Amino acid sequence: MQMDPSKKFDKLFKEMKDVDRSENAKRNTWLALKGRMETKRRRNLIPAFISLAIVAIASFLIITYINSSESEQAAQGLSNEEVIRAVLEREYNGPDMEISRLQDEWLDLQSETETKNQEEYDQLLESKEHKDLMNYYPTTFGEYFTENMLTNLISTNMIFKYNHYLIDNKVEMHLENVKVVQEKEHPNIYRPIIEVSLTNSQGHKIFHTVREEFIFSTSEPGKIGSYNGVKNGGGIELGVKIENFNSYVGENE
Amino acid sequence: MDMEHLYKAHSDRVYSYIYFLVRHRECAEDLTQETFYKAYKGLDSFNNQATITTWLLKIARNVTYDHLRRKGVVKFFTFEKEHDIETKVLSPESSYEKKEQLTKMYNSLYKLKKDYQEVILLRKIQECSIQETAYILGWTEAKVKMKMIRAMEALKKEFHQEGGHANGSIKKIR
Repeated sequence: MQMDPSKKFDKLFKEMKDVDRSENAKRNTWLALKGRMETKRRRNLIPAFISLAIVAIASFLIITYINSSESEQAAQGLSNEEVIRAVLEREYNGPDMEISRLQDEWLDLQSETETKNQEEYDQLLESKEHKDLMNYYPTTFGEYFTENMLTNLISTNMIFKYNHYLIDNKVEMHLENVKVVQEKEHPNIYRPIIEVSLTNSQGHKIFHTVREEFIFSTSEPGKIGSYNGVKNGGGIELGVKIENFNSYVGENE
Repeated sequence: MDMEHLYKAHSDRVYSYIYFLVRHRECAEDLTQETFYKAYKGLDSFNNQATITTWLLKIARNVTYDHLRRKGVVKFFTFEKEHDIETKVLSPESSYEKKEQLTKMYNSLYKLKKDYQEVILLRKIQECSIQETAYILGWTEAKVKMKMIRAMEALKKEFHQEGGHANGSIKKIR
């Protein structure tokens, strides 16, 4: 008797899920991962000591500077709203071809260079390609975020998050309007409403609205300590619109 | 969150997902390591919008996709002639018929459009829910449902066309 085709498929899918993986390989991957995490922790500790010394020296200079030219410094600093607008200008005007070029160069280098162990991979991290890429993030976004938040944003692809979509689909994105809304009861929290336009190579233009959330650090005033998408804020739909641009042309052109 | 516990609990699932995309054991191990390293660095930003597994699979997808894109080989499931299908069932004891069916399934899958392959991989092979699949792929739930129906139709068609030809040989098994 023939088996029900859908049952047969389900059985095959189940079998495909069970990929064989040797315990040895699994353990080696864990050891390599552990080594990288420990290296990162050590790297984080050394700058902490240096930072303390710098902070001690700098504190004296800063206090002197604040006292002597308080009004001048206030003029140089950005308000929270201006910081948000600066981040959104970066994030929602694109694509950014420079980050794409740097990512390509770094990933090409990884593809071309065989690394047999953690030490060799660590050497690769010292390459010009990797340094250039990692320096680009602080250059573009560094002044707006706390250091910890910037590290998290890089590792979770939360900045330049639409760049691949834009490049792959040959679509340009422009920031049209921003309405910065501050939480009344929590003044460090802002949830801007962001209107962007998308334009394809034929000049067709469509619009989309997204909401995001910025929480300013209490320990580092003026810097964003948390940058989040808002649930049902339209970010996912923006990616879908870029990927399926032609289907949306005419909708709100 | 303890990384060792996280790794032990989820690394097989992440590896299995990546393996289907890259089809190379060492590469899948490297990308699994990269996935967990990124997760380690980004743990503070995990905000329970998804389950930890779904979050890890999303990172795994980004890591793997970047790897494939940079190598210029975004050819999901594209089995090379010498590719070996590594599943537990494909042990020497497995029946010839079972191997043939699996080979047919792989061959059918790699002929599908990339988005069909991805939705089948997540929904059917990784057994993710519609909501989880939508989160990982960055799609709406409606799009997942629609793509899934079309993907399964396309797969059935390919699978039944695939059968019986002389080239349906069993791939090399390590």
